[in-house]
Amino acid sequence: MAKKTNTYKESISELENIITELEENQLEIDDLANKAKRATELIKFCKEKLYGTEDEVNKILEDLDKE
Amino acid sequence: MTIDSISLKDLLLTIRKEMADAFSNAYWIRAEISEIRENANGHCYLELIEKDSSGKLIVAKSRASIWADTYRMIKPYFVKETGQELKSGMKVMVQVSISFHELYGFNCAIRDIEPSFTIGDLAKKRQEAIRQLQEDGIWDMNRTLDLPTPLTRIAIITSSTAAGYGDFIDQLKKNKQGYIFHTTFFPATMQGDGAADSIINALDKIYEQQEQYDAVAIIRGGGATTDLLAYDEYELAACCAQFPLPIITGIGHDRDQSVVDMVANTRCKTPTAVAAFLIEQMDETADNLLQIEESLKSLMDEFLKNAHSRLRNNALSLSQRIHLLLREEKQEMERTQGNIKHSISLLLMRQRQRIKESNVKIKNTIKSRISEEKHHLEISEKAILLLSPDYILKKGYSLTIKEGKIVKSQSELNKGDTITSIFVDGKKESIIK
Repeated sequence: MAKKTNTYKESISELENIITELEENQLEIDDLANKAKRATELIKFCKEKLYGTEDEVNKILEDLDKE
Repeated sequence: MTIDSISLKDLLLTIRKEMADAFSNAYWIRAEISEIRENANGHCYLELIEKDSSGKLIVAKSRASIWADTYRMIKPYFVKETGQELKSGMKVMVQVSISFHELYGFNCAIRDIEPSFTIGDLAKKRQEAIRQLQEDGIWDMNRTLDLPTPLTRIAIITSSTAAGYGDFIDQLKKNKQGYIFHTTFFPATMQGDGAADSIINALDKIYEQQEQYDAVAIIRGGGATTDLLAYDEYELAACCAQFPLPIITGIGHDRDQSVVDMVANTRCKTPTAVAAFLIEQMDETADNLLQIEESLKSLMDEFLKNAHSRLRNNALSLSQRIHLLLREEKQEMERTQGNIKHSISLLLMRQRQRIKESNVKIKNTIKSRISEEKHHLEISEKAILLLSPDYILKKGYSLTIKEGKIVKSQSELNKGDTITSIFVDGKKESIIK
């Protein structure tokens, strides 16, 4: 579990690396698609950490309805 | 043998009278409460003690009471002034009157109390705890921990009966942003006697599974804001200060911060404030993520746009370059063509010139040759003329012909031969004699 916490951090720093690469024009056009894909994955992962997966959210919404 | 004796009652009545006479005044005394309880009638019964300087050995002990009519006034006054309930272990300065009752014995009846003494003593203890924590070098340990991101897995220490807990969980889980919090409840006694030990116990449990949590929230929802001395106790504060997870407090009191508040990573006033803080942290994290997402998007857009325009520029410059190259080539060709024309006409001109020159030369040569020949011819003519037989015949010479042939010697001629002599003006035949 602690690893997951790290992974959020790692994800953020990986995202920041991609930003730096983009800003400093270090990226080749060939890499862009891969990087974009990777960034999307990372952002999705991070969002899940903040907002929960859809399943989790739905479950909570259900719980709220029951109340 | 008769011994004088009095009844127990008489003796005690005598003591009661003597004491009433001797201790008719009221006395301000300093003591520590070792026991305290209220009864149904509203009276308060205590045991007061005094310890030696080591604080371990009890050197004096007495019963005491606060009668209901006094207690009704003293109790709220003391709480208002100190923020604390009277409780065991507390040092107090009280005004007492001494009494002795034949049935109930010695008693100190408390008539008044000086809260500032207790405040001073508590402050001293508190200061002592702070000094000790600093001396131990653990004062800043929890405070300097970084709050993890995201901050979602919260171990909550609170009382199971606290009404505020439900509100806290509601507030946390029904946040409008939709953040997911994973909360785990660790029940503890949050105030009064045993609170410190109970909280330490809960912390120990969390410590054993610390990797499952991002932070610990110590909250005390609702209830009177009294009897929070536990939060100034050294043991609890030391435990919090050294705790490996960030501790967020929401103990809910209006007075000065407790020592636990001071050593905690984050101090909030109330459980509500803790929930708000946690949501705020998530807002920050989410904002950060959003910013990253947006700058990624715009950077990638920009990257693509740049790449696209670079490509277009390249294509453009390619066609431009081709055009330029073609133009240059054409120009070069035209120039070459011109050159060739020029060269050819020059060549032609020269050639023509040369031909012209040659013609003249040939003419001249021919002319001179002709005249030379002419001259030569003339000379030859003359010579021929001089040598011609006519010319010689004219000079008086004659030619002798025998049988059609020129006779060059007299030996060719015999007697009787007919010869023909040719003269310039005719011929004559003759016969040799």
